[in-house]
Amino acid sequence: MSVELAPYDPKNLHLPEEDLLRSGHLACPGCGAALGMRLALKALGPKTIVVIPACCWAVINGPYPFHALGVPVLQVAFETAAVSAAGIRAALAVQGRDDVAVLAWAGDGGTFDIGFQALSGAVERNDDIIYVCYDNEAYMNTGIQRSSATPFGAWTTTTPEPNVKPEPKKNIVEILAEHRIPYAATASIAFPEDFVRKLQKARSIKGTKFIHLWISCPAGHKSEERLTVHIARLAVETGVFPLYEVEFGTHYTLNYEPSFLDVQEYLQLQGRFRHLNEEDVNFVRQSIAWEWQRLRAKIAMGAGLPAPPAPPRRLTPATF
Amino acid sequence: MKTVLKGNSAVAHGVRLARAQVIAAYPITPQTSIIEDLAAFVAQGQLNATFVKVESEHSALAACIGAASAGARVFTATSAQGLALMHELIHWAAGARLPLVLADVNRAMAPGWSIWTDQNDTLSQRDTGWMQVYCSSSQEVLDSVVQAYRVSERVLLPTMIVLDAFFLSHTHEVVDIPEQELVDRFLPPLELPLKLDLQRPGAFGNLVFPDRYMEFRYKMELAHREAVEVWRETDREWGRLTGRSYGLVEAYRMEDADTVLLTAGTAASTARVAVDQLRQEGLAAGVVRLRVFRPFPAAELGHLLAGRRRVVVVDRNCSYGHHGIFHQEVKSALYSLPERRRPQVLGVIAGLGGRDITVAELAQILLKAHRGELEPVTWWNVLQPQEELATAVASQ
Amino acid sequence: MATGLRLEDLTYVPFSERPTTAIKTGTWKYVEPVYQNALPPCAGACPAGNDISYALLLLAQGRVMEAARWWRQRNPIPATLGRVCPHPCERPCNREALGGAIAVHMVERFLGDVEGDVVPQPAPRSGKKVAVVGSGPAGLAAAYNLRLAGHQVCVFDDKPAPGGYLRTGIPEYRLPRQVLDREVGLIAHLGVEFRQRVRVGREVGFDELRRVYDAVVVAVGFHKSRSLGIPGEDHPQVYNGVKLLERLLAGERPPLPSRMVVVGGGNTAMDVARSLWRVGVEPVVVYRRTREEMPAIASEVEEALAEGIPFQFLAAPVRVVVEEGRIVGLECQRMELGEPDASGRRRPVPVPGSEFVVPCGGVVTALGEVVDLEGLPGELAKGDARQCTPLEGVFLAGDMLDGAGTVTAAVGSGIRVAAVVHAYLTGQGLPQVAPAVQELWPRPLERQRLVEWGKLNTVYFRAVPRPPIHHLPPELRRGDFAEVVQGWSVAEVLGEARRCLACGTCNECCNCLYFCPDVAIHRADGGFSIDREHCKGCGICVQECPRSALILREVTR
Repeated sequence: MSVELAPYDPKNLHLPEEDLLRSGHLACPGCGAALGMRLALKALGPKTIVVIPACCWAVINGPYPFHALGVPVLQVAFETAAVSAAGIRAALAVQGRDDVAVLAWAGDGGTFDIGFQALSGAVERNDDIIYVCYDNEAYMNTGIQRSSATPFGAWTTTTPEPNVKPEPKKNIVEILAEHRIPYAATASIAFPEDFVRKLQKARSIKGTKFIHLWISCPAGHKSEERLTVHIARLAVETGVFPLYEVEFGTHYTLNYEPSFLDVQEYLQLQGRFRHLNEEDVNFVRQSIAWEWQRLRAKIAMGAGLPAPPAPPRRLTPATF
Repeated sequence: MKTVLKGNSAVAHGVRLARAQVIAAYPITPQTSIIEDLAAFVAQGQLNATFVKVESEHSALAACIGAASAGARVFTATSAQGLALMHELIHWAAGARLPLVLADVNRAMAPGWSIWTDQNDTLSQRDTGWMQVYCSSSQEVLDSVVQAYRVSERVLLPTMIVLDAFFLSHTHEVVDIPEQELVDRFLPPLELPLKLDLQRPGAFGNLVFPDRYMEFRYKMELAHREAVEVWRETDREWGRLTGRSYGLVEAYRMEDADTVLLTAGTAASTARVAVDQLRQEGLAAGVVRLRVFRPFPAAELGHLLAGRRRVVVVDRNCSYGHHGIFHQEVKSALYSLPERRRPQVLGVIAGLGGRDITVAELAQILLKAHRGELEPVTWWNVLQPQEELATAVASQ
Repeated sequence: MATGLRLEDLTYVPFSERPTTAIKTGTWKYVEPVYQNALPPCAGACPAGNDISYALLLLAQGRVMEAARWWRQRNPIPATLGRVCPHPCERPCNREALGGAIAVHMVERFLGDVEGDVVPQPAPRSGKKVAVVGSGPAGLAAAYNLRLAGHQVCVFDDKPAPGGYLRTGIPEYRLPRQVLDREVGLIAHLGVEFRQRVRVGREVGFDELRRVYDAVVVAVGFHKSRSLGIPGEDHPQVYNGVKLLERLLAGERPPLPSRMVVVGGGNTAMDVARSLWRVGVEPVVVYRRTREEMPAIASEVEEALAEGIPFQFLAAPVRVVVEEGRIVGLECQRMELGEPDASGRRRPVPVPGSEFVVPCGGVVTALGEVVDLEGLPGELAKGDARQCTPLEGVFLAGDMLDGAGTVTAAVGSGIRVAAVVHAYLTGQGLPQVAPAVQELWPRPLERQRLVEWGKLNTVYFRAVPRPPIHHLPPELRRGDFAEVVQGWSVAEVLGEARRCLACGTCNECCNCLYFCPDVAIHRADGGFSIDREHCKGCGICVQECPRSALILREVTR
């Protein structure tokens, strides 16, 4: 008996099969950063050089003489991820190699805070690198201290109760968009296909590409290990973390329309938000709504703009 | 080809001749014209390099570390605050055993702001594992840059080429620029034993537990020990090719000298004139110029200074709370000599923040030393607080 | 050196090349994931224990023959059940909220109809002989499974052809005879001997059976109708519904009054009414409760209504009205619903003075049936939890054991008894209770873990509507017993199989594989394996499995 039907495909996710992350790395159980790296290397493949500044991944990759990745890694100083990657790109350029992706892989501290100057410099020069900030919203490697990526109301060891963080999270993508970066995007480990697509798109673009990857951190968020992907998904579905991309710094595309579940669904699974009262949560709700209004306004504004003018060929920014 | 170059331009020509592939730098007075010259070389196609115009010195060295890790020959230059800002990565570059060359134009540290020379910026980096070469002429600057790449790439340690602000960086001198072909023979293309390599995908710099960390630092020390001989060889080889060599230390009229002035940088040139004058007055004076400070040329110094009556070390630097730095180093190096051959070692701190050290002053120092009138440690030509007050009141 | 390392291999910087796989992070964990198939709601509700989700998975993969074979592993009459089963499996189906429950009955019917090599190979002959009394669904299932276990099986039945109630009580518009004949034929082809027109206790003595056979399974079902217990009941135009149906289905067309009242609300009542309607009688159904309480399969009631058959709800017969020797009506009393009774349904309570007459020329009773043990030992009246009787080597199955009243339950009962008899015959000893049908599945499964909606990770599921099921239009049904429900094409069935969420059964969706932060899950033959040396026990695989095919269990060291 034969029948004409599309081949059966039970997969929920369609991802490259090859893995360049190896077992035995030192990430905590349920680590979103490990999952993020796994997905990133699925997307970029073996012709990738990874730059890791001080961050959880500096430890995750394993103690000497062990190595968790199937690609070269350069561990660099905390604040230098972007420019170290730019240095590698400069060397590859003089060596005549343009088939290698240089991936700077930094945490939120190394991106939003201490590494921001070097990142801003690299973006301004339009260095040909892919920069992924895997954001677990605090200095987790040092034991959960607040960063400028820590959201409003979160407990950390430097924002202990009752002095939990009063400031909202820095909006890194918009700051970089204002640099007129060729490509910036947000991504989530709960949306692997979207993340992989964005990395592959980033690889195809010359210049600086920035991806802000939201990840869960069971140890730092005080959440259950098994909920790592679930909470990351809720961050998107509640509207806390929109999935979008920006081209030329002006053309915004929303990649996923969330269901706008009540943010309490997201907050209640994380011990770092346990102390929030109804007034606090209401503020979070209002902030989400307000941020979405802004985002939609930016999308609308970009939609009405033509692509920016191309510079004269002679003065196309050096992308090595 | 002979031409007239200021010290900064000599650096740039040395870098050009060494065929540096990646340059990353950030401007700072008095280093600025080095990178301006290099930018011009790149723009005019005289140097096939990528110039990463970074946003800070910290990033400059970080970019160099990235590029060198990928196997490129790299260069950066800075001064004072810029070098201090690099400090974290100065350690990093040495620990990573990358053969970088950095030119530092010695400039005094702020505050208050000073753009003039002294050595505290580079000597603050003494213990980082870098090699340091203190130059005294534009020709030596150019030659040392080329030599430094060869030594660095042999022993896998970075080198700092040091030149005095303005006295050398901005002073025009005649320089013989060697032919590219000659330099190419002297300095083959860089082939690192380990680099970022898709064919051998390892990780550089992972966590090292206490059971292994010390061994890596010991290998750094062994490399420095080896570097002493590599510097000698390299300098000799350069001498054979160009007729110019400098040694790790440079001796002047030392044959029978019993009073020796030891210093580094352009002050050594001044000292020669002072010694010439004193010799005419019958004083057996000589000059020793410390050129390669790291690795420390203990053998050379011991050989040169053993049996002399006294050595006056003129430091354009100070380790506050404990004398001039070269003074301490020389004194400790000579302590291993037999007591009867051990000279008296006196220290003079002079010329900080670009204050001129004149021929007359150096002659006076030597003379005082010769007469036994020099204190073990002297802050030369410095106003005592009461004098400073009087001066200030007078100027009002 | 044992490592083969040389001096020159020592690096001057910490350059790391050894794969971290040498680090056994598996020692960190205190819980670990385990692939474990669990009971989907459909199978949990299936009285015949069909392994529905696995067969649907095979179908989804396009493995039609394997699915058809899989379904017949225990169940001998899927083509029949797909048509007559009230499909309790579909009620708890987790798909319900996402486009409608899977039409399991349509799939079962399709798989049952698949021709070819669909019957499993029997085990080698055991040398044991079993007599099965009754060839209804319980008897057929017992015979089939005992034969598959290697025993010699002989079925005794007093009717001309095998099938029991399937043949005598279920009209052809629900179950075409060729479907039943084919399934009986497959059983016979397997080597089961059918001795028809032999009533045990009359043509053959029960003791003789016990003497000749190593075991006897009695599955004679319920055939004796309850009576109305009202005046006029003995009138010749008051028919026993079961008997009348048997005659009609055998092709007889006795002269009948043009308008007849059918009393009852069960499947027999529906079958009688709809069959009468087909042979030209105008039936009226009288039932003492409301439509909600009717024990008949809901779709049968719907079909009867679609065919225009009138119902009198909340009406109980009190007297057959006879005038001049002819029935002219059935006098009924209005009822109202009171407190719930033992069955959980609200008890009908008569409304005084509400009598009325439903005009008719005849009455058919369809009030339910009881067992008829004429000529058989009284010990057969009651079986125990093992389906054993007090008589050594004599077992019970079907309605006479539990009165469950559906064909599917009877099949399940037959499957269970076969397992008990097999254990008895092979000297394994009798179990404490007869195994649940799900325990007899041909694949391992954690029966205790029922995968209800809350156990699914529904993020990965999208609503897909259930395709329509086509029915013969009512205007084409009169005067004919043509099948009402039309079967699905293979494309429709495969599409439906792909709608199945595969609750509790791994369908290799790969979520576990892709979401493992430790790359500790690998493809293995027919699924996945967990690298226990590296798994840290985070449980993301368990959480992100859409269908609860993994569990976390404590690590024991």
